[in-house]
Amino acid sequence: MNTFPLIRTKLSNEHIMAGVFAVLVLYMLPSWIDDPEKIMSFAAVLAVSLVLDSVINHIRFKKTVCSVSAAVTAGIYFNLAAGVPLWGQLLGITAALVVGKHIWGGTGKNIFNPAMVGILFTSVFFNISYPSFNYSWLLLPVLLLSLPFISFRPFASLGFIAGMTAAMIFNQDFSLHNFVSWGVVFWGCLVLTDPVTVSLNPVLGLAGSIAVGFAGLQFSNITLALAVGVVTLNLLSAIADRLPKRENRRAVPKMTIKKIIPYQEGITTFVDLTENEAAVDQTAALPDKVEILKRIGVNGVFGMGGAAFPTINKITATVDSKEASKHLIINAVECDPGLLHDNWIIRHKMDEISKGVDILKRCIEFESVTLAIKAGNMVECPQGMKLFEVPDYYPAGAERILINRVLGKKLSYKDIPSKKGVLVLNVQTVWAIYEAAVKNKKIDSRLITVADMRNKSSYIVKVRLGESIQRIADELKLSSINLFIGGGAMQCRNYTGDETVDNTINFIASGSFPRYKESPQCSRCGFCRANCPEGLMVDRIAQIVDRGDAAAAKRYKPEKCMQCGSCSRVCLAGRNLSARVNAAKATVRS
Amino acid sequence: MVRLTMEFFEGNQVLFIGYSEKYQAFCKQVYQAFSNNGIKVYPVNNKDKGNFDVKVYKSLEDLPQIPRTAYVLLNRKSAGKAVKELAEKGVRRILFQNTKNADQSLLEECSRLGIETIVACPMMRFGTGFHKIHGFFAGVRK
Ligand code: SF4
Ligand code: SF4
Repeated sequence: MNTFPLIRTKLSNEHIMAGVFAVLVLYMLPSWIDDPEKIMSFAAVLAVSLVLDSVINHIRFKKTVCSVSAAVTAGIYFNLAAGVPLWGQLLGITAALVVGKHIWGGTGKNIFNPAMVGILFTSVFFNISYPSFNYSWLLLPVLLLSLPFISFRPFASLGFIAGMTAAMIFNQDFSLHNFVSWGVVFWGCLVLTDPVTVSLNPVLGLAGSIAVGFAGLQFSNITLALAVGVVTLNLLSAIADRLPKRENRRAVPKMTIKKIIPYQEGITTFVDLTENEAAVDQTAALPDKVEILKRIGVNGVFGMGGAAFPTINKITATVDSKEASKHLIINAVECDPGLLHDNWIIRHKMDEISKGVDILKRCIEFESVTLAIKAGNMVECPQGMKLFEVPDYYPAGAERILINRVLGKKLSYKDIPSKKGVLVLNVQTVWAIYEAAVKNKKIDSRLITVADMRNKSSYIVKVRLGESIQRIADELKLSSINLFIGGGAMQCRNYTGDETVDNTINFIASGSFPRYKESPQCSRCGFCRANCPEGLMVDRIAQIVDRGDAAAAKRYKPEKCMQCGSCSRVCLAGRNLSARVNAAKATVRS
Repeated sequence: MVRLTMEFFEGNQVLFIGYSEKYQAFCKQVYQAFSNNGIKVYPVNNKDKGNFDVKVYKSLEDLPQIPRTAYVLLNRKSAGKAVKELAEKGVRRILFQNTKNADQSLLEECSRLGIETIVACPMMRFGTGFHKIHGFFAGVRK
């Protein structure tokens, strides 16, 4: 069964496009005040575009798909072709949607901006007047409302505005009046920012749009010249985006995600569901190295951060590592937005952690021992450990990212940190090492976080491995029948009704199902790539998997995916992308 | 159209027959709408080996218990076969998605088998936004 983040962006492509549409309508307001008949013309153009788009989408997807993108096309088209007779506008919008969008496969698959295709088509029969807008102070706030859309293609947008402004200055035409009525911001913020047809590539975006903006003003039919320029840039973008780029090389994204329910000392409840603790053989003296390793292995200490691997393997790999300097990093960063129990541990079990570290020091001579915590989670650092504050972003606690931060050491996804002399252990694992080695206690229980998302309450719960999830939910009187379980809020799966707590479960939540609407319309916003800590071309991998050919995604290295869930969380099409990447990863591995 | 009430879903649970990968987006929407309204869903698909975000049972035999209400999202031919099996397993109420997968003859057969039926998209009752408006005008919700 697939995992998915329990929290996801509230925004969707449809919301963004509805925002663009609202701004486009505001651009029309001054002309509607002058000539109210234009309202009816726009209503007709809008109605035709919506009906046409809905019908074609219904035929293609065999279901109703939101047609707000067609409304945006109608809005851009109508603003630029307002002077054309209605029948010409109706033909133009039909050409825009059919030739500009649907013959390519619909929203997200078109190469050219559909409204520009409509403008080119209309220009064959009519002369499209320019400037497109009559100057009105009413347009000034609309310019401001257009600015947020720059964020979708900032280079192309700013490049266009710079190019057009430079041409105005060059021609000694620059004035606020011209800046508004010539539609500098309209084109820059609403046309050149179309993520589907304009590349994210900064060089192409900037250079191409400066050229389009500058050159457009040098022609007599400016609207046509600008449309030709945009379409040319669209074509270059399509070519550039289809070049065999395998990775999105950039710095690790720093996505700040607020805790679903924040930890509050004294308020976050601790619940112990492990009656009848197993009797322990308390050994007075600390055992020797051989005995320590034996106890860690025999007592079944495992990675409590979610990996669940036997810790003894990690420790022995570090012992055997040929690296001259060895390092221990205790990971208490707990960057997942659902988890709280590591925070509880560093506040309540620091003595045990300290003793666990002493045990490990008996086995390995570490050059450094670091306790990595989230910035602001100040705790007193025990002697012999260095406190390292990690900025609050997700996934700051991922092993390789943490090693890079703490030690400045870059490891590839193929490297095994312990073999490179770096032992990274979750803080609960260090506590378990203490219990196993000093108390000779079998590790048959663990701490997990339980979140009741409806009631906004959370619990740190000590449970036995093998405990029924349903029993935990019943004991804590969780408010929803929907239960989710997994490594954290970013990697949950739906509880099926018969599972128990195992080594991989850190988190249980009850609440509403997150809304993944699995829209077939990817807007190529690029958020998934931009937020992937591994720099994967997530949208391309997902597209290939959706075609039913997961093996073909191999060239995009899906095996690098750490299943952090960031891509699914940000996808504006509401798609569980990490599940698709995981499917490709599984195919590559098999 | 008949009003779809919570009482139709006895024990607040429902079998979802025909949860498919091909129509996963819609199936997931329905699953989420049911479960966000407190109805436990048991999706079943005996053919699909798909990759799902929820647990999909291969057959009725695999289920921990069989709810008394089923939601059927199958074509007419498969729905006809499924109805008999559901009746044998004790299902007493069936919600069909639309009249394409449940024509008059199938509804009559259900009635002969003692099964109460409603034909309506569950999104009209349990969905949000436009589904709510649709449900209101269709008479599915109050
Ligand atoms: S592709 Fe994998 S590593 Fe990248 S964001 Fe998605 S889940 Fe995380
Ligand atoms: S798949 Fe990626 S590019 Fe497409 S809508 Fe989702 S986040 Fe944006």
